[in-house]
Amino acid sequence: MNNSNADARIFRRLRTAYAQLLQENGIDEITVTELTGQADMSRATFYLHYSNMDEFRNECFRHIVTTALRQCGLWFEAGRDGIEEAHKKKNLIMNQNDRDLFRFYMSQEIYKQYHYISTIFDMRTAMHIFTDTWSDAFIDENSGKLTVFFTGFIVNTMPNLTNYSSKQVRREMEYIFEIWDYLFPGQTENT
Amino acid sequence: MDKTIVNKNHIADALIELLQDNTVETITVSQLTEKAQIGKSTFYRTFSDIYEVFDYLFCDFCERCLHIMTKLFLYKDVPHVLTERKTLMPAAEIFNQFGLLPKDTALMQYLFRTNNIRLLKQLIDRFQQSTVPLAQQAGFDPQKASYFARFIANGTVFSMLESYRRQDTIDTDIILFLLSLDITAILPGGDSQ
Repeated sequence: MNNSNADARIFRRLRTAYAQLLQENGIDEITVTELTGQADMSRATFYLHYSNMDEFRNECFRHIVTTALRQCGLWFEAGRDGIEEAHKKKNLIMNQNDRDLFRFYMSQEIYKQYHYISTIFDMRTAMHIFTDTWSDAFIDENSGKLTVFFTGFIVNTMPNLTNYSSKQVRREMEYIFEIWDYLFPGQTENT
Repeated sequence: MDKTIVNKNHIADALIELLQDNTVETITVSQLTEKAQIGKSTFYRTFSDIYEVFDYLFCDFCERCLHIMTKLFLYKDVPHVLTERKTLMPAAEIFNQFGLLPKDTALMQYLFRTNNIRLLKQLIDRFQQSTVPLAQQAGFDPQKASYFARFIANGTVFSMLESYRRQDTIDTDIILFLLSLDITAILPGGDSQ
């Protein structure tokens, strides 16, 4: 199992099957047999990658939430000029299936949306992904503002992926850039 | 005062005390009535279960929070606190400075401690809704104003949650950021089409 492409394909197939099953079943009802059956795959393949259903489920939701964060990052990086292009549905890095899973995840109470919180808390790391071009002095000087800005941005924007409307997100991104200009006058948000 | 309200507050206070070491899900009515030193029948005359007590507590808390947030964001009516940058202050002290009662602080800490995203979101939703009429009154674009309110509330609450989870403290940079905000500068009246 050294082939990471194959691994990614298997993971994607399992996610698709999982999303299909979740439409009609409770999260605790789905078994490995059902999942692999739906994905048209053997149980052995499943167990090569995951030791049990819990591990798969966690891996699945962690992936979904991380992808959602990356998607928000891309929207931000695209900047004002890239708004048009970045929000076309075909340019989303999160496909319909993963967005369905994300919607399901956000509607669940039982997991206390653990991955969601910890992703938001990875903000400082995430900030550096967005912000290669900023000086350390700028980041240091504005750490409080930047933390609040990015936390607000992520928490406001991520839920849009559950029911994606490019019109809505574009309007909100315009607001975001307005807030950016107000908070950090003269500082460009990207290169 | 109405006897039921006295009872309600008495029971709610007892619940707050129990929440210091428990979660809502694990507290039993017997525990609560024992703590409040009342009979079970008195309890059931006032509330139907623990969750109803918690809701009562939460609504009360929301009202005071909204009041403070509105003062903070719209009227810049802020007590004199913390001026040193990049210091971590105990959360309880900060909440206290902003006029939250000790029981509100206890509830806030409970929400943070248990990562209760659903209720925190509810608080933010209420805040967002409450800004709409205020924005209209002031001649701001209500859609933009309410987005902005949500943005700031989310940013603040979740940043606090992060620093709180780490060490029961709140980063004063976040508070200073709030103090420096001028909502009228970003929302010129009638600016939208």
